Amino acid sequence: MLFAEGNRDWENTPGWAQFLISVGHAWPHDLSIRRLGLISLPCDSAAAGLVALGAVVRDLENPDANDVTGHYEALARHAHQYLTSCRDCEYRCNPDIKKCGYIAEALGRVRSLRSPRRVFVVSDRTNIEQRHLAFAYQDLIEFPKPQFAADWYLYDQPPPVLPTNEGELCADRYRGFFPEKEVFAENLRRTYSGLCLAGRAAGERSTRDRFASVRFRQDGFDCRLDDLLTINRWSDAAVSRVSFFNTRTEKFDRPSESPALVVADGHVSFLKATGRREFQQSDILGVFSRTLERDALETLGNKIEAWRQWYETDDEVLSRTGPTPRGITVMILRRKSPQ
Amino acid sequence: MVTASEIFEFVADTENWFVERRELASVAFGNLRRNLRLMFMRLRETDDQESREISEKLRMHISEWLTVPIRFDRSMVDALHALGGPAAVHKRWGSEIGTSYANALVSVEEVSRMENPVRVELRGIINSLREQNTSFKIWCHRRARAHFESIVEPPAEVLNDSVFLHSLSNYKDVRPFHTLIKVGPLRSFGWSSAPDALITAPRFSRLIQVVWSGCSDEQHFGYDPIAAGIQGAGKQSPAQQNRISWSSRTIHSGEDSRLENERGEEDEFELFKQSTPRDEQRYATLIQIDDEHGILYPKHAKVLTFDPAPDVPEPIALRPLGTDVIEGMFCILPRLGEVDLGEIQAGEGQFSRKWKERLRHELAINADGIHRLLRNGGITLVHLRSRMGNWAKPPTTVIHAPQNRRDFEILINVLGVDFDPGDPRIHKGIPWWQYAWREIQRARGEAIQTGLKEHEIIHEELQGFLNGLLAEIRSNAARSDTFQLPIVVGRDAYGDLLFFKIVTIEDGYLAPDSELKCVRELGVIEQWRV
Repeated sequence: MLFAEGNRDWENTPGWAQFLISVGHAWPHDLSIRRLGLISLPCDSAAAGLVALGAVVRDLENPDANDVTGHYEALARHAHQYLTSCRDCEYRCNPDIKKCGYIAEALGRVRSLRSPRRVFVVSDRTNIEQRHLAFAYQDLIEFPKPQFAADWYLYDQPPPVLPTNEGELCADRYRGFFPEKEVFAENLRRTYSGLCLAGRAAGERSTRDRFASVRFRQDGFDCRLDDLLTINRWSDAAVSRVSFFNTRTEKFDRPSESPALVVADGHVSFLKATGRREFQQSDILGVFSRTLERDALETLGNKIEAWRQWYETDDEVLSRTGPTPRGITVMILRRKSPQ
Repeated sequence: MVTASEIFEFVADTENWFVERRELASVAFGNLRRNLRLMFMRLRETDDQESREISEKLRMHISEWLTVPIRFDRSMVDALHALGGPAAVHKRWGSEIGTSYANALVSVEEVSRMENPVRVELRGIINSLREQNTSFKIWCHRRARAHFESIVEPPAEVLNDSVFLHSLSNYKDVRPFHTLIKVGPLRSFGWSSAPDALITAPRFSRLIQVVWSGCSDEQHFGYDPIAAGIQGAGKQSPAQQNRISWSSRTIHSGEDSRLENERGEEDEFELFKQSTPRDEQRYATLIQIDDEHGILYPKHAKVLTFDPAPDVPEPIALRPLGTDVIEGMFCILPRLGEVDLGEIQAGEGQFSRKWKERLRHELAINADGIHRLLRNGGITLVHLRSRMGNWAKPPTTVIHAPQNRRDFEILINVLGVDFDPGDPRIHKGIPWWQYAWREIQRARGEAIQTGLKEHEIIHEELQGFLNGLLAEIRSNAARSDTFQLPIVVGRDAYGDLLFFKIVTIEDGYLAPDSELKCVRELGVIEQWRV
């Protein structure tokens, strides 16, 4: 796998980039223990994207890493929010003022894989208590069954699974990072919301531009890091394996409740992520440059100190990544077991 | 743009990181420091405002002389003489301070006749690095740059733009080089401040630090929260053994250096840190708005700002300093008050044009004379000559003028500026200089309190008002780094809003409340640098 950054020539993937990808790949899937991590580098970089890329490859290998299971419930929750709160809301959309408890508007609009050009709306014939969904398009009303839930998806979101191979992710793009591992083919057609990237404080554009400066080449094909992450609207991929939290606007690109892992780009993003209730059960791994003002460094230091009460150092991830390159410092904490 | 690959290549290729600390000593300068330190401490302990202001001035002078390679010349003598004659000081503050002052005057005369050893040392370092064709840069405060530039001899030798690093944002963009030169101790804020990244994320392998003896580096300079956290846990995992680490050596030199070290020069910055700040002072952050002016805000304050970036969801917002306010944004200073349109708005700058014209005329025909008259009138400012030149500059949105009202009154009285015959304001009983002073205050964004009703500034309401003017604000911001907009609702004028483009943001100030949130000259703001 060849690597290029900015205007530099192609080279073998350098040790620092390989290490960061390995950290993401080695991050445990163990939802019973919460982990918090910080990685610091001597400069600004696409490091968070590389860590997220490693986690994407990890998730592609995991048969359970998909949104298909539980999708019907997700549609039902959306329908419930739309009918009981958002449809008749006078604030568009200001949950802080409305104090509705939601974080984003439910538009109530869905599409079907069988007729993707039609936009259905959640119908009043939906029975929330019985969890019977009803979607209306003009005079037509459809009543999706749970076993066919994957045929339906939210209007501005990727579908949970593609009906055919058309539009699926290209396995070769990902296999080259860990050739000895096997990508689970079904995942190439499936969306997954268990991994979230919290973008840098400067905004989505800035985050994406930074990641786009990193490219990989395998078997003559080039791809950019931002494409490989398959964030909604960042690439042509029909499915998404990473959701995006815009730290600047504090909005998600798609619903992402309690992702298993949040990778935060920058110290501001990391600190905001640790304060979000959506991420209270998630592992959070922050990546930042040490070229920060003292105030910012001390804020991070104080946070680490405060966690010591409930967290202890965890060496598991680093035992699987190989030596840490000089210039990178890593701290990973896991929640202490109750006594 | 420097890439992470380039930085990591440099880090991997560098075998050793090395600090070479060149500690200088001088008997005469040491005597001067000692006497000024004593004066500082004693004056600080008094209750009266004048004494404390003088102690602040002394702190500023000492801080500058220890951290900037200034020329040792008459300006140092003038700076001390501004306090008054030795007999007057003795009478005012007693024998201890009086004696120290007298001794300091003797020392400063001696110091002013020698070349600053720091400059000699720096010249040698720079020449040596150039002979070896070694890439180097100099870390210094923007305002100290001229002192470094004057060390080498133009036109053959010039320190060009690319040699200097002034800020963290400069540093982030710099490509790896060999040697960094720095004068003064390593501190994280205030005088001689530098980012911790010089140690934790070096772009160079050798740091040459030129310091006066007794000036220690800040204890935890080079702070890395992760390394500190791991140390705190008592664990040294294999991951941490490959860290960047520095070795160092200290070279003592200078006049009677061994004797100086045995006497043990005290660390002034430690002394200043331990001096209790005045109750009415608070830590502040400087927003620099042009080459000569800045605004101090309370640290972590929320500042009303305009972000000109096109895709920002909230261009006008109250943003916290330290995180969300960045260079390139505009800070917005409201100035509210009952506006007498007939007097102020119709002829903005009319008063300052008049006295400035008179000042320019006086400077042209007899600069020494006007200087003497101002001194005799009671202006005790150091560098009064250069200040007069500054005050004579034409008015713009910001009016160059004395910082305090008393000095301005003296200036106008000496210049003899008054109403034109027949001006109806003659009979109002308010002297001309007060109108002119009000004009200056407005330009600086200070609240007008001359008998007018004081309006409470409600930023949220201003935000709503400004959002309605977004197109006009964007248009102005595209054309100018400084502009103003009137606050007019219906037919009522409530004041106006000053927009200043943010050049740099700098921590490390401790200033009284009265100095916050208004435009000041950087030369004046310096005195509040910690």
